[in-house]
Amino acid sequence: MQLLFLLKTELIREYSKFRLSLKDNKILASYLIFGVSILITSTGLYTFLYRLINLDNKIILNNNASFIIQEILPLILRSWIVLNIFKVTYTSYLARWFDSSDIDLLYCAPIQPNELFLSKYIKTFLKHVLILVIFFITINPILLYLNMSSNIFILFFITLLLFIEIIYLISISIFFILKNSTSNNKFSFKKYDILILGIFIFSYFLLLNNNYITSIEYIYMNFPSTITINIFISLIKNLVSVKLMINFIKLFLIYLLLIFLIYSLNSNYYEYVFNNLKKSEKKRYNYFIYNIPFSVFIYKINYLTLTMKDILIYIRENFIEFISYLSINYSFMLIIFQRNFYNNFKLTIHNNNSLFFLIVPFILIIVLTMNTVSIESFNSESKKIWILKSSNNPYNKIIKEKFLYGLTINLILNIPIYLLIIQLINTILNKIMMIVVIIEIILIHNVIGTLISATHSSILEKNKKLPLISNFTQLVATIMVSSTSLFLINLKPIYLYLIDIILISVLITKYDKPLLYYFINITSTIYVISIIAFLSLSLILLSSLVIRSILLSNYYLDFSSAIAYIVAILLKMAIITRVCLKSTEDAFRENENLI
Amino acid sequence: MILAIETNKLCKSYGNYLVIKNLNLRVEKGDIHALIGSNGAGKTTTLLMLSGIIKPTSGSAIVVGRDMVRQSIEAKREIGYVPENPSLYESLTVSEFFEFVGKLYSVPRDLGKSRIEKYSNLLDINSITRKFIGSLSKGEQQRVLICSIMLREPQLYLLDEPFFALDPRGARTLREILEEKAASGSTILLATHQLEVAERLCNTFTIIEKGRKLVDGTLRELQERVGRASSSLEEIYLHFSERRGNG
Repeated sequence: MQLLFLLKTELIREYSKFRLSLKDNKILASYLIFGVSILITSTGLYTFLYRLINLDNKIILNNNASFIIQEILPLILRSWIVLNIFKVTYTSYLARWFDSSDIDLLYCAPIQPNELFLSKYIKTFLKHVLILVIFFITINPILLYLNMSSNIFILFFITLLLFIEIIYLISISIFFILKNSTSNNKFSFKKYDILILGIFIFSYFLLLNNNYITSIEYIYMNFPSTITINIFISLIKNLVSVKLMINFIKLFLIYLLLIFLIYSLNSNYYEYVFNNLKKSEKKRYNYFIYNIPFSVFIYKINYLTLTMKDILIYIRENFIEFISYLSINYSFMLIIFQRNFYNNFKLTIHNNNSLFFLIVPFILIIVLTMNTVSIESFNSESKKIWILKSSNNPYNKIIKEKFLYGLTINLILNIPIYLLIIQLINTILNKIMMIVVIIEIILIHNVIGTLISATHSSILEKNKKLPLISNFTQLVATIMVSSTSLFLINLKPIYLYLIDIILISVLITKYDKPLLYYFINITSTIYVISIIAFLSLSLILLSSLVIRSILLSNYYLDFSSAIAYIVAILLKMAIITRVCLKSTEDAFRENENLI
Repeated sequence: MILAIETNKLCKSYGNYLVIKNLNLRVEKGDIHALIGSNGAGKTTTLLMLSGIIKPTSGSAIVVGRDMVRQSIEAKREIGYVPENPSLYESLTVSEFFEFVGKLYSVPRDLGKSRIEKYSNLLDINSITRKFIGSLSKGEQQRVLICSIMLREPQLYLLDEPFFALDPRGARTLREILEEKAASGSTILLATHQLEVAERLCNTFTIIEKGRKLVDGTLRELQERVGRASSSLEEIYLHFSERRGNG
């Protein structure tokens, strides 16, 4: 049994990588910022739940909570499954488990394929545990608020972990089967792709629609997502019952079954998959989507060469993800308009005391975070960045075009959300206002993403842990900026906390010691956005009133107020965008590790 | 004497580590100049500074008559940089990549087309223009990159180990193209440790070691300094680098 030896080697390698990364000030700074972001989120949630919700009517919270858990959570979990299957099947996800030294050294060594594969899987499993621990630390206030006992907390943790693992194992099984079934015929790859994409989208729509589900109820009840949701509902209600335990055992058995499946699939297909990990990059050029000619993009718009190039490359390389993301957004919209769901939704958002108006921006930001276009805008260049850096284009032009690329893709991906909003809100002016607010959030999310990308791109390339960290930082920064208004109106303690952060950032910036340089640089560039948001307090207050007002059915905006709000929002957008793009330009100029 | 490159006490450091130390480099217009040194000598860092990709920590660099710190945008228009182990956009076809470079540097479309046609023929990449760059071999990618530089016809070529991935035929074609460019007044700075190639192609040389210039001049001048008229470039390089190692 060499499994233990392989696993030990993997863990030693990971630990060494972590220790080495601590020597890089930039990576160290990223870890620190990540820690601060966790603190901000946790404190924000704590204040939100204890300061605000306690003042509200508890019954409304309960209605909302059950509505979210029973109606929205299944959608989120199923969408997560579908997106993950696409991610693992159509990207080089599995190839990332192995690196060149594995392929050159271990593949030649007399090692059982399953042992090597299992050692990689266990390493990934441990990473998932770590991520989940961080997640639970972040959402700790919610768990405290729900008065969870330690036993229920542990069950909650294990259920979520099992669910995540099941998603990955299902995705990897599909990857193995798909790769093997298409290995003998290069053209079948395209056909299988389209077929499987079609089947998944079709099944997904079926799963979303309860009318279809009743006929296959038994299967439906044993779906991992259904079991997980049932467990969650029992746990949140603090109900430890036989049914809960049966569901828990079911989930665990599904997990074991999948492990067994992967084990046998790996024994049979290992050689093919492993041999093709290196070649997988070249294989993808067989896709039909590669036939889109560049000249169609580049010669139509004269001034946006870089944006056009990036959009084309994004569509070529992420076509399947692009379509799945659009489908999932679109299916959300469809399900919302199912009669019962729609009525509940309307009832919830039109309730004056509802919390819904407060969580709308958060939901939108989380939806936005599902794609990583802006945060990868510079990282996607990676070693090709020399092409841009050696060109005679001013850096501010490069930055603007990169920003426009992320913004365009995100605006397209969120078209279904605008359609949904148009359907949900009553008056034309209110509809326009809401769309302006959404665009503002998308814009802020992108501008922060571009900034983080320019600052982190070199370290993202070197260290695979950091995309998660960067993504989280982007999420927190966007929430901070977009919803500062909400915090300022309703949450006094966070007001003080924000001032603390600003003061700390400003104070740190005064110490220009070499060792602290990168920490200061990254921290101050990210948190300077908060300062600007704080300074534009009056504008933010106005834009927050907009969200609150237009979601209330009895509120009708008059024309002059609408114009005033739109001007206020546009001013806020302009200030934040300008500051962020300037910081991005500085980060791009200073970041010599890109080369 | 018109200088295409002139650096004065050029320094580059990363944290406390000094990579380039007071480098004074002079390359005349129309020269094919070799920058020679062992691995880690600072050749690539020098080229990165001269191409405006990274900024010097101190000192100055005047390239094609422009200060690389203050006028780098204007200078970059006249510089063609070929990195060691270049990475290109794998998801673009060869012809799309040429279109992109043409637009990036504002080369008129017709002029760009005629240059691409000329250099594609010379570099034998006509048959691969519709292929995706990611599906090409390293040598083919190198030829594509060289062609993309030639379509701009810059005044100064900064080439970092340009022969590394090329087959003998490709290497010979590139040598001929570079000789032709130098004859027409362009300047070439070649960073390499392939000393035979440098000796055959270049007319002036600078040897650097651990970020410092050891010696520079024509082959004859270097031979005189060694004291042996028949010394090869390899012998000259070993002579100076060993002397530095001993001293």
